[in-house]
Amino acid sequence: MRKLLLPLIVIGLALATARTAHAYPQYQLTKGQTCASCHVSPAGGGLLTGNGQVVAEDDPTFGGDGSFLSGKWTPPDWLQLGADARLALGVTDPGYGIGPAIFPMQADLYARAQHKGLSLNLAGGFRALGDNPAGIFQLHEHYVMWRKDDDKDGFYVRAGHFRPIIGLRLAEHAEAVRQYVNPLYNESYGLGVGWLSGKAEVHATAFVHDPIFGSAEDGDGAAFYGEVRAGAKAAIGATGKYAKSSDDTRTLGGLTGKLWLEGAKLLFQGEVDLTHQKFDVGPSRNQLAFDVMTSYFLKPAWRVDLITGAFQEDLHLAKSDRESVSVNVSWSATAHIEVGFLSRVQTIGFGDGGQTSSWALLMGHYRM
Amino acid sequence: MSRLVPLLFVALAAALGACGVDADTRPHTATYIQQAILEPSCGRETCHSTALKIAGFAFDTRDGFLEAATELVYTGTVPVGESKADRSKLHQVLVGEQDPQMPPDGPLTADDIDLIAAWINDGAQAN
Repeated sequence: MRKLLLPLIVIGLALATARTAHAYPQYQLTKGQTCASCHVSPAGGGLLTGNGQVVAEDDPTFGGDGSFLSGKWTPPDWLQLGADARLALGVTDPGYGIGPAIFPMQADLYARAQHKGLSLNLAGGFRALGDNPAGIFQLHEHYVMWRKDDDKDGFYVRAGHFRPIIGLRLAEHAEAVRQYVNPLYNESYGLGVGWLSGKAEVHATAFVHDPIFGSAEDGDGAAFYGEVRAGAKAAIGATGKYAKSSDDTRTLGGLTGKLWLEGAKLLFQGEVDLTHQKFDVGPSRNQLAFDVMTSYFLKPAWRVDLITGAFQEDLHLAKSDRESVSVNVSWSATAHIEVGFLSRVQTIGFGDGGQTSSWALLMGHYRM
Repeated sequence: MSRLVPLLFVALAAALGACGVDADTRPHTATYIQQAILEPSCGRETCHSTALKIAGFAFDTRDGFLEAATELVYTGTVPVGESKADRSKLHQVLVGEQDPQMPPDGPLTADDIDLIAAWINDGAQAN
């Protein structure tokens, strides 16, 4: 039992902590939206705009009012509130035995105060600290933003603590391009500018690492993402990032693509990133990460995602590659409740007999 | 079209597997191991970072790693046929000889574990 219990505690501690919610880019092309037309954050995720709340009412089996608390109480016009809670339970096999797993995946609160185009945006959650799992409440996002109108094309500027925008920003944070390129907890202090429209979006961020709570990003630098729609059913994008820390320098370049085949109800999304990492000591290395996500919209409220991806830690080393296949099923029960089945198999050294790990989880998601 | 995706994945994965060479010429020094292996795999903000220091260990800095090594690495003498890495808790949890195996969400690559073992067997110096 001890063999199973300890890893569960460790995984629970690792996951039961504050994090930034991310958008479902699966709904971008399929519903004719952009990340920022549904979310107040230009990165997507977190609080929904008025349009996003309406979109959230589109598909659910049991319908519902998409607004805060289903409209039972409405905050004053200048204030927006929200929350996301996710709980998962199932089985995991880290590579040395199957064991049960139950853990909170997310418990975030959001608040936004705005006056005309100017807004103060806060997102926080509990974060474990040391050996104290109760931890502390951390505002992992806190920034001031100017954006003339949430639902219309235009520029935005923001300054504060947030995640620099790169790549696809999938909600599935265990996939290669999220886990190894754009991981959890990489919020930095920064200044971001961008332009958003239905035909294109551009984001640029200059950032410095967080010296207070630390961050997965320990360097200072700049990030970029640009995406252009190719007609209504496809998009291509490019991303880049440069970061210099006290012990290394990383330069990243990547490409993204999206294709929506409406007749077949299939959406393809992909990202490939190449990172050159130069250490202050020792040889530099090149890393490659990619994911291809195929989403099948079975019927309203039901979506199946097949995600295949890989990451090579060092292109110079033949057996440093990790491959994964995930199959996720999502059901939108109401405008506020989602139920998901998440499964994944990952292996090291495809075809070389490397160790394999896997999980199968049921997830409940409540959006306040 | 949907059938092409798994095929594409297998082709790309096979291509990745074919990348690189077998000989690992990376230096087995504490500084390189901490920066290239332990910091990205173990020292993330969710785990053994200076901020969280789960189980009392931090691998996101060289000093943190060397401090952890005083507890996790065996530096005494060993009989013939045995290695210092074999007796070191750091190596034992990486290969699953001691619970819980680390990292908990999947092991390091064999090359990375071998590089850490080489550093331990070479005296676990602060190099």
